[in-house]
Amino acid sequence: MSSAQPTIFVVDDDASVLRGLARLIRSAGYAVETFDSAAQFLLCGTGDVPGCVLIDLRMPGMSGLELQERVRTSGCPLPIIFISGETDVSATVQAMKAGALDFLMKPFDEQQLLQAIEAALDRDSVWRAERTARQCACTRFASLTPREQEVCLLVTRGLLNKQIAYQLGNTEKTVKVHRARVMEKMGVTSVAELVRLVDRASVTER
Amino acid sequence: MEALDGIQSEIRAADFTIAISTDFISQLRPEIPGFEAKRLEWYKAKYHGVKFDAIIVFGPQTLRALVPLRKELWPEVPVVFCGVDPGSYREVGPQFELTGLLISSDLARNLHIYQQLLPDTKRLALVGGASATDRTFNSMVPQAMHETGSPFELLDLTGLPLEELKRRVAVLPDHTIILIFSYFYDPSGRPMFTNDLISSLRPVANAPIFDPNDYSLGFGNVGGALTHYAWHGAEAARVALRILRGEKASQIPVTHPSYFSLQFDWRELQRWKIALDRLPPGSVVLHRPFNAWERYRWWILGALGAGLIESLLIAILLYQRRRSRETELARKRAEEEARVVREEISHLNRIASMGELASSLAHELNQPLSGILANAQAAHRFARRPVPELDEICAALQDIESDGLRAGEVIRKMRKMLKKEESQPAVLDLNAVAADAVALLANDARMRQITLLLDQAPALPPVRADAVQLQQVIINLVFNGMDAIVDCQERSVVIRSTVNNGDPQISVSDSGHGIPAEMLDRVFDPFFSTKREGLGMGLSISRSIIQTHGGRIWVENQKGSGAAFHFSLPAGDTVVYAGGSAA
Repeated sequence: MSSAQPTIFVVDDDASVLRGLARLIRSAGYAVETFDSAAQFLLCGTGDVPGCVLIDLRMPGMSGLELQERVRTSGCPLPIIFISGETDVSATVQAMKAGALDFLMKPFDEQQLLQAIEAALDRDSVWRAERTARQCACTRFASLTPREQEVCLLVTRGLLNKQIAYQLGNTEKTVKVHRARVMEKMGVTSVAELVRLVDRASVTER
Repeated sequence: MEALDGIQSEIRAADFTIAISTDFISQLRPEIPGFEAKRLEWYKAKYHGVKFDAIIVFGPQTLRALVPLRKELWPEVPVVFCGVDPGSYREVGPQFELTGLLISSDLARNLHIYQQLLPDTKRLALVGGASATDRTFNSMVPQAMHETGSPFELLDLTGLPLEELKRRVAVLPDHTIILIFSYFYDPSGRPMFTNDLISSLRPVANAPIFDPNDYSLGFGNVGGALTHYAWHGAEAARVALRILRGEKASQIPVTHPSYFSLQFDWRELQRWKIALDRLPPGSVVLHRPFNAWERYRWWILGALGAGLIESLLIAILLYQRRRSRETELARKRAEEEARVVREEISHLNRIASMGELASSLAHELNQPLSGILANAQAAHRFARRPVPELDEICAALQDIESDGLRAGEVIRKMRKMLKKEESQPAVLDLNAVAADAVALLANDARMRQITLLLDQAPALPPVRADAVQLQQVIINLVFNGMDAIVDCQERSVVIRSTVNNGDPQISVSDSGHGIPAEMLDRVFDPFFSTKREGLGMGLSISRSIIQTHGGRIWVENQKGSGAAFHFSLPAGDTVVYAGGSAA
């Protein structure tokens, strides 16, 4: 997990709102980076720093919702808080469905904003931990030989050694050896643990 | 001098009489020994016994030159500056009774715009002067490029003499743009005017030229988010007026408003094949070229027209005299009643379109309010720190002030629109009326992701008309246009001014599907509407306004796509309209 200081990225096409927000967030002790359009934000990227993104819903050019989609599918998605000048119910629903963390109506007060940011940063660190764990599970799974991977997946499906041996056209003894190696390489001691790890790596049978 | 235009028009509009005296403090040959002392002597002689109430000064160099002059000549007179960058203001330092407006270019935004206009751009050739001031300003460009992560590679062409520059800009590699930033002096110390520089580079350059200042638009500058000098001049004049009304300059804080106008030169866009839909929403396109006939037709026809109007007038008079007295009186009464009703309805229609505008106005007010709130809270927090951060607090207060002004401007526009008045004809420039109407709609268009293109013929003949009512017509037409393209791929509404048979004409065309032929005759009928929530009054009121002004309004489907509404008004008085749309 990265130990860098969290950065709050703010995207708003209105220069004075952008400056005001940045100043307010800075005054609460966070690092801030500002962008006056979705395109500029995408151009600069966020790197792999912890943080969250504040996005104005309605911007000329690429809208906040489109930007959300792009951030969501990027390599290191950050939690998103939307800010908006008007109550646009359908846009709000769409944003929340797509995983926005909060939706603040302008003008909002500092308490609302800072609480939302804190919650978003918490969420970000949870996401980050999950991503690291997934990464780790993936690496371990990749270290298995193809045959071991097959055995591993069959084990997690709840098959007995005997059934696995039958399916793979092997002896039960060979399967036992594979199985022990799988448990060792994956760093687990029980089938339950193995299931969780494989699930995390979201490996599916080919 | 665009700033001077702004200053003068604002001062002249004041409710008390003010005499304006203008001086260009000489900057020439400062290297001559004893230059400053000589200049001081000259000014002492020139202004002996003249007392000023306030001084407005434009530009960093003028401000710097004014400081020693003022000490000797006008030590007590308050000074308002404009067009001065923050760096130069810091250098001059605090002075007795000095306030004003700081100015700076929005480089980040412009770099972004250039990239949107010409996405293939790889290089930015920076053209700039050789003096220390030039160097300071020009160093902001690479800095801004770095800060905004601009993908352009920088090609440094600063500090070159004009002849060398001409050679260099003719052979720039493909996908390059030229940015002229600060070029006050050439390497030999000769002062240079940006417009001259651009005019001499434009014919030879093989790449588009950009300059973030509005005064060079029309000389070869493609455009962008431009610093609007007339506005800054007008703002400074407003501050000066406050001082003349009794406020102390020292109690009016120095502000740093971020006010830019999105303007582009049609000829340059054509030359570099930049499609209009690449322009940022709310852009204004100027300088559509006219051939001699189109440009001067009005003058040529003016001479012929005079005789024609006279004979028409006589024909009408003869016709009128045939009517009996009674019908005459009855007609007058009916006309008077109709006028009252028309004004009533037109007021209602204005309120209705205000209703449509209300959501965007709410947004426009919401933005400065959010800025004010965030800045106030930030300032509070910075103030509560063990060591209060004064820089941040001052900057926050400054932003609060300019947001306050911005909100005030929104209210002022709205009030002007809602005022219920009898028609007040005045000699008007339709270009200015159209520009005002577009300014009111700009935010709405932006939110609907629609580009409004204002394409204006230079030097429209003046008309005698009511500005608010004409604005009303334009707003109605543009609203219709915007409603017509909600489901279209290409989303633009063009507001074009032309001269048609000697009369000024405004055309509003959209990129929609046009109007079914069988409806073309009926669109101006009252209560005819194709919109679900439409009242069907907008166009009928528009027609009544135009007809009252003796003009004509009509509609046609364009060849390509969409509908075009046109109205023309009779070219007005023989009063020669001075000023007009000069930048």
